[in-house]
Amino acid sequence: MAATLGTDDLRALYRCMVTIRAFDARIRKGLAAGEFAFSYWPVEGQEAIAAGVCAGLERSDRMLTTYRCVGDAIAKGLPLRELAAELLGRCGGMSRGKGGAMGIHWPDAGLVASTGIVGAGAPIANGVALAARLRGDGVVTVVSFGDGATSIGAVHEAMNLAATWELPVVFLCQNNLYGEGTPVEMVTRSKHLADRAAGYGMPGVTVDGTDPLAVHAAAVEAVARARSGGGPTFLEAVAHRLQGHYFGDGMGYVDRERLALARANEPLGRFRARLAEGTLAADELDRIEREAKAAVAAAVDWASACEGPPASDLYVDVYAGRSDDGSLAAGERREPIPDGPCEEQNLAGAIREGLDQAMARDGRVVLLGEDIHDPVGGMFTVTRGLSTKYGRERVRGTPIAETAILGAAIGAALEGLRPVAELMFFDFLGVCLDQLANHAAKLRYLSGGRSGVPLVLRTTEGDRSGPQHSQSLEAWLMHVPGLKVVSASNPVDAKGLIRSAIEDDDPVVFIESMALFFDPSFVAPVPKAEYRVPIGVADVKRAGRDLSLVTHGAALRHALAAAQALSREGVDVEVIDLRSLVPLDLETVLASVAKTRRLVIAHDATRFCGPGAEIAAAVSAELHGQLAAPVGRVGGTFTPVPHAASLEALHSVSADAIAAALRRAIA
Amino acid sequence: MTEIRIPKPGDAIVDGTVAEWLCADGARVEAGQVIYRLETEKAEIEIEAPASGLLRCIGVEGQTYPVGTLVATIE
Repeated sequence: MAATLGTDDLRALYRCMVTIRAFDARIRKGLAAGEFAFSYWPVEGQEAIAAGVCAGLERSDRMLTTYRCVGDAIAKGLPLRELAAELLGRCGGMSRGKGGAMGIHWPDAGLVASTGIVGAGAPIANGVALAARLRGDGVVTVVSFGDGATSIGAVHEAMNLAATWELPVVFLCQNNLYGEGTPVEMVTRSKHLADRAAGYGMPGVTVDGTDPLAVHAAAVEAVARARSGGGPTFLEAVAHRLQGHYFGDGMGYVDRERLALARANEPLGRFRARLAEGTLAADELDRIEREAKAAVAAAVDWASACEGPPASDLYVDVYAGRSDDGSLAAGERREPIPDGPCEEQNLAGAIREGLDQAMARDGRVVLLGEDIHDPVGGMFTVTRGLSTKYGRERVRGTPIAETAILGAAIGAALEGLRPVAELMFFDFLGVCLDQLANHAAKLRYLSGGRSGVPLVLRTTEGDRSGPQHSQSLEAWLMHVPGLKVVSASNPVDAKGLIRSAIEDDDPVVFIESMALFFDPSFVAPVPKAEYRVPIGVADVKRAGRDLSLVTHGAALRHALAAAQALSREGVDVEVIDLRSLVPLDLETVLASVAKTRRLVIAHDATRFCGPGAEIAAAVSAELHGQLAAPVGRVGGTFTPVPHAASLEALHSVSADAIAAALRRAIA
Repeated sequence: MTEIRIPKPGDAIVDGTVAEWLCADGARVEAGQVIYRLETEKAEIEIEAPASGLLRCIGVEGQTYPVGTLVATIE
């Protein structure tokens, strides 16, 4: 739509605002009458923002929004029926009722996602925009958020990255003057929230968010800038929210005079009066309003008639291709590792070769992370040479901003790319966990399977690097439905596992080990051919009949040494490398323990609530009565990883500690 | 007939009190007219008639009911 609006455009703008107002009112009416019950975040007073901005977008342009989503969703062209059914939690909803206001996904109209986490959409928008940049199709991404989001780090990381990379993004701040129950002036000294943009080197604009024409004009300028390669804009549209933060909010925090003034100047009535001055006849305006109300009524009636999703839906869309009981399918049980010429590789080199082959084969594979570009090529040189070979568009060095990195990977994955992000140390998980656990892991489920996030997060568990650079945190992530967790213990598996992770349709966390990267004893002949090691399939590293020892990652070397020590004592230990923690190959573990009747689990992660706890419980449940000894567990002590070598040695798993546990189990 | 039930105005709300009827039992009400005041742990809300018709008050002033309880009808 052009910057100058014709009569048809104005009619459409009015229809959009009226529809938003009617929809919001109908939902609130139903909530008040007890007709339905769910959390709802009203949009009355903010109709002109969504309508004005979206009138300046193409249908193919993308939008991300928040749980206060109704205005954005309607303005972006989403069908009212599916929108209503989603809010009501009915199977007719666009996400089968599983996401509600936090599960608004309608890729057909460019609505990528809504989120219930304040500010979390901004980093994801960058990835969506990055994908558009790489496609070169001129698509622009608008990310809508409230004034409250301008205080959260995710938005600032995202603004910096978008400006640095000149991404085609519009940061749309709907300043409704209250962050939940707190006036905006209590949480910032910025005169205008748009002033923040200057700090990132992008234009910042503040407009009257109750004037659809002013909003539209500002949006058109920002969108044109983004589309033409001029980078992002921060667009602040100010409009007093006329309802509470949520339905039922008593609004005790609101300045009553200010609210009364805002109600008297509410945007829809003002726009109608303006149109009535010679643009559209009163009876036409009435007719548009009647039609909008009728469409909304029909949509809510349709939604109300839909059933809630059936019990069989509970496990659907947690992962790609799964539908019934929640047990995760392993890949093909055995894909042989090819014969043929090999090259001696350490762990870093093997992963590099796996990445290289995936990038050569598939142009959708892009890498993101701190220092991953040449000449550094990654903290552990895993990506060395790849930016030189594939260019910095596909191998993207980033600011030190893990939330921005993860968000960009998520957005790119939602758009069909196969991003591989690097989290330099596992310990940095805390600063991007929201993106990983609330978004990467959940978007398939929250979208009813409309979206998926096929990204890989490569990270490193540490070794002798101190309390904040050494942790093994896989148990944190095993607790998050929607993620897969893979741990590489050797170069041959690592090369095949990284390829499987990249080709997997779900988010995969790929754990590498600092202790193994350059360990000369862990150099192995790695096949030069392309191959895959399936996710979800454990590997029996050493067959044995007396005792089962289950481990993964860097602890494998200690496990093998302990098994060797026990064999000298006449005890035959079977060593299983899990390789994948989610999905967990319990089948292989149970088959082994059914044979040996004894189990010890060893891992670097803290023993308390570590991966071994789940495995011990599962094996005890399945094989109770057959076990000849209690399940033994060896893991890190319940302490931070100490810096001092003398203490770290006490904290960490060792071959001696594992051997002692094995002896206890066999005694 | 339109049913009016105790709403759930907020995540942690499990019940609500019919604080005051603003329309009499048997009165004719118009859609949008405020018919009663609801009090909950979090807030006090004026509940509007979702439809026009004759109001039948079922809930008793001062009584607290679980979310979802039928407190009025409009016929």
